[in-house]
Amino acid sequence: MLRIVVGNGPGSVLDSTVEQLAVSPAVEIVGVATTGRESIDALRSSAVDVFMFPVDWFNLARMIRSCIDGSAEPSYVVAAPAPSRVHVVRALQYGYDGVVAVDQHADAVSTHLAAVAAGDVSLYDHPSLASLDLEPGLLARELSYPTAVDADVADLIASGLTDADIAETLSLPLQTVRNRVEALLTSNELSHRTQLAILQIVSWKIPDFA
Amino acid sequence: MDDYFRLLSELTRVEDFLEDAVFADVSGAGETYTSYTVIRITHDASDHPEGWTHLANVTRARDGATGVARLRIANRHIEESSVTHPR
Repeated sequence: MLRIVVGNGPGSVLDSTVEQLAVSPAVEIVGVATTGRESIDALRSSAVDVFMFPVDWFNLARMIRSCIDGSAEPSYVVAAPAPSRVHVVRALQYGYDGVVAVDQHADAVSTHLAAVAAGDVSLYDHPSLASLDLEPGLLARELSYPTAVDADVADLIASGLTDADIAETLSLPLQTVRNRVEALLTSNELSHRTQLAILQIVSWKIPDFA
Repeated sequence: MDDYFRLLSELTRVEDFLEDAVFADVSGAGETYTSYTVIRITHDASDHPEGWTHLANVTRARDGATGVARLRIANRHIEESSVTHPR
């Protein structure tokens, strides 16, 4: 039996998911919390396998995790009706364990949650990242920067700027920016600009609340 | 090759046109970056409808393959490139 605490603020998209999971024989809903305080209390009160929360709880869930004893830590899973690549990358950045689509049958949701809790699936395997041709473990790499300006270039790429925007921001010729992107891709053995953007986003440090 | 390009003398030197002969060509919907070196600028153009100013022979840094590049050069920098037939 998978024991779940659901973070579910007022009017959250997870209301119907909670209703469906509540009647699933594979799941026990230990608690439905509408605030960070309630979540912490629910997670501390008994052994929990999964803490599931909506996408607007990205920051709140990090604060909650900082308040929970690490020895009994559940898996942290972001829930969204149709998770996008952005949700998956943010979850990687925040160090969460999974992202689950809740616009599917409760059995599929509970199966996915159980796989995350057991460590059988990784965020790096998420289908939304499949089109990027990522080699196994690629996103776990640490980027290296051939020159000092390359870290700035990588930051701006990860912020969504075009090469032309970056050239203007850094007061560099456009071709210099392209040369730096090429150098970053080559030195890190990457094949696509988006791969570089995602690796850079994942490397950004999210401040700890502890 | 279209009529806008004019053959240049074989005596022209790359450094007469460019500060840096190495450039990254962007392809694949802006995702793929490939480094080339201009080894000779063969033609120039005026009033090209697509804005190209020069044709050049290039080599690909990764494997030495050679190709032809259409270039837009301004202030001794390559502003845009389109490389064809690297082999």
